[in-house]
Amino acid sequence: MSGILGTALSGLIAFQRSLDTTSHNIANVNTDGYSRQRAELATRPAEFNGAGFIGQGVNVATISRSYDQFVTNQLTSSTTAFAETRTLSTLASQVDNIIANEATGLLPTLKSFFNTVNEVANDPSSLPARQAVTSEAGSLTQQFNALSSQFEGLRNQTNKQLQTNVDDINSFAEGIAALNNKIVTDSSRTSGEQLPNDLIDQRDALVAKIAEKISVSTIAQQDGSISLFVGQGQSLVLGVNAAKLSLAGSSNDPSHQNILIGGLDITRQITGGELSGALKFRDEVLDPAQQQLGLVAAGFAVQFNTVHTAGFDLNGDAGTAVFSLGTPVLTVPVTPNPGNVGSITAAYDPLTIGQLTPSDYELSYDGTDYSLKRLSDNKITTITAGSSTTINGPGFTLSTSAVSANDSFLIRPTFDAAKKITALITDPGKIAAAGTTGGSGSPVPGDNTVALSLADLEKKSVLLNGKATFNDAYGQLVAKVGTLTHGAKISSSAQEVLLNQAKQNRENLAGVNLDEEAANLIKFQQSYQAAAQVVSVARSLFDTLIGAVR
Amino acid sequence: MRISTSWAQQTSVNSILEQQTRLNQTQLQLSTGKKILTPSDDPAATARIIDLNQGIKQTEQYQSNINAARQRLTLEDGVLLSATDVLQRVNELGLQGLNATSSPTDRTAIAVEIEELNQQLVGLANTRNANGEHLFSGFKSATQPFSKDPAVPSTGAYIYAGDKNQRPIQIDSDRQIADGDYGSNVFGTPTPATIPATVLVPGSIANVFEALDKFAADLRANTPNSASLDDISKSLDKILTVQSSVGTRLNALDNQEGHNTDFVLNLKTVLSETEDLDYAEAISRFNQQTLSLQAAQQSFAQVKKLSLFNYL
Repeated sequence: MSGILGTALSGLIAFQRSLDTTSHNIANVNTDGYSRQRAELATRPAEFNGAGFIGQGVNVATISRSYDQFVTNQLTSSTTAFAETRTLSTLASQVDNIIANEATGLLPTLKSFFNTVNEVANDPSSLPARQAVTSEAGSLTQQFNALSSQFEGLRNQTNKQLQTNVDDINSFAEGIAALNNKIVTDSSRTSGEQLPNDLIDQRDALVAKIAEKISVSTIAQQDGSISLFVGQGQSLVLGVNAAKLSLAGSSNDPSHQNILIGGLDITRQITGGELSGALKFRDEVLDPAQQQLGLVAAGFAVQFNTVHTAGFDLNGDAGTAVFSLGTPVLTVPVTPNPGNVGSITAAYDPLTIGQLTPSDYELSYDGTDYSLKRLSDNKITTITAGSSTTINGPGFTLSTSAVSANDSFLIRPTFDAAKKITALITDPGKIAAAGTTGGSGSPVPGDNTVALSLADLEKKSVLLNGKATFNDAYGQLVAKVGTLTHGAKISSSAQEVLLNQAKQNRENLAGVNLDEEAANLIKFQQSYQAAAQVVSVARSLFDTLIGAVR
Repeated sequence: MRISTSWAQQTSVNSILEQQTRLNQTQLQLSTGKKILTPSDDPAATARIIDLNQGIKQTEQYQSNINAARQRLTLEDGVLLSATDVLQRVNELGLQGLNATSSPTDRTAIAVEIEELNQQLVGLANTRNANGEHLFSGFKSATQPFSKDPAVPSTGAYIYAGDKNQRPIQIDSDRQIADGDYGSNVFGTPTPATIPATVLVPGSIANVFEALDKFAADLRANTPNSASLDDISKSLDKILTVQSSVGTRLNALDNQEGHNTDFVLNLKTVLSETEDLDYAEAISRFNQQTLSLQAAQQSFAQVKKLSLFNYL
């Protein structure tokens, strides 16, 4: 009879555990990353007596969780891929919206400017028509500046996003290391036989969060901890230790952030997640867009100035520069390497401005030859300068001074051009519409020949080696950003489908189904009631026996 | 197969969100009337739209240029018409003055009238347009083209202070038209100042003002020269030639304007096909998407009611 009682008691305990687990499942139905658990029941070892092996009831062998490594890995990699494309598409859409918008795009302002130039060609002596050119020139440069500062704003936003991502990754990595510690301690208490399911779920959830930020590979260790690796095998979490990611501005452009781990630059090896999305946006959308816009700005300013300075204004004086790109007006920004001995200056070259490409350049000197590297495709041109201090680049010329071996310079003809362009002429009389003059003070006010040439610039293919008008070059920018954004949107929605499939696979396996839990609840409740009934039977048996001997 | 309860909910919510996104896109299209809202919607079409817009605005600028040119040429045409009237009147007077029956008094009266008419003609040659520009000074539009030579005021010599340029106006991508004519071409080049006006010989005076002055002077002196009529008729021919060239240019402007109008219309048609929304299609799409959203919402509410816990 004590056997009956003992067996019934074991059932009561087991079903209570099962009910506990069911209730835990129900409580966590909405917990992200929770894997449903079940109490695994096993018969107790039977007891042998003469008649054979008598069952001794039931034990809770373990609390297991529904988990599948493959499904989890699939979810992690889909999360990474989706986060990357979504970030790229969200950021790229912003550029996409800015550049083609009627109000914010360049083309309406460019068109208005050339319209006013046309009106001066129609009526070169009219002061109101000339006034319109000076004010439209102002609007146009402001439009260039505004677009450039929008790009600048996006760059800051991207940098902030990089910083947030890096901070998040670091704190998640620390969380994982801490959980590793607990998990190892907890599982060692049962010599590794029982696992702390909820801690493991928490750790998996953190891994999923990291995967959203950066592509990681996970390796499970014997002791129950996991190790995380980023880039090309750089360890982020190793047992109970977490490494730190950090950001550092590149040597010649502090606003260009690189990702470092333990002092090692891994920017180019980062493949997925929001971090990679933001980097891709910067390198494939934002920078090229800014360079192309700068190309239009620089090309336009130099070409317009060149035609204009060949003309004569309403006072009969030679035309002056209408647009400035720096001081002096044709200055190209140069960033020297910190260890340089010599120096260079750079200026846009009106003769070759049509060859300008939307890229930065790096000039280096090995003691005998200069090499000019185009950074957009790393194409190197070797220049034997001899004793000359002038080097001709595509669209600009460089003047060297005491440059010695191993000096190098970053030349950025297009990057900041849209930011730097300003209009110089405010006096309408200074617009040089005439091709002839009778000398200073003796203007030829009805002469519109230079005004006509200026108006003609609008439809001349003067950029990109004679292949593009200003309009075309800007149109290329719109089309390129549009195509990239379109692609990012498509791959983002494709990745979303894959991610949802992976999520569904995981949820189907590990998620809680309330109907299932309700059924289990009934089942375990009934089993519990039955076991309690057995106790009652045992008692009545005992009573019977007591009654018999009374 | 089992389905997780929270995922089942998420899936329903996702599908509602997706329907909403589509509906919103269609609604934006309907409210803007455009089927392409940002370049990424259709990059190739966006590039085409940029080109088309540029073409349209460029051609509209040519239309505005044409209007400017037409205004000036019409003004010139009017001035030239007045000038021919004046010369025809001078011709009549000249015939009277040359008539042998005319008395010296008659001739003096005729001379006075011819001088008066010459003043009028000089005034016409110095006409300014609405902007205050002289029509017949070439590029030197701020300078009065014809005036009596101040160096020798008594001789009746004239000087031309303009230049020999015609201002071209762009009326098509590769077509320019002159919006005027320079004075020496219309009214004849004045005799160079080094030659005293007194040696002017009727019949070989190129400038109409000098010719008229000479004729008037001869009439006053009662020695009119019939060759002066040749001068007048040559000048008239010159003006008529210019006038016919102005007419030709005005015609060319009209033709080009018609051509440009057609071209813009064409471009606008293509542009509309490229970027404008097909409302019928969009509205039916809108209705269908509204229906889908409603269906998603209703099915969500229905499914949410189903739970075993309801029966415990």
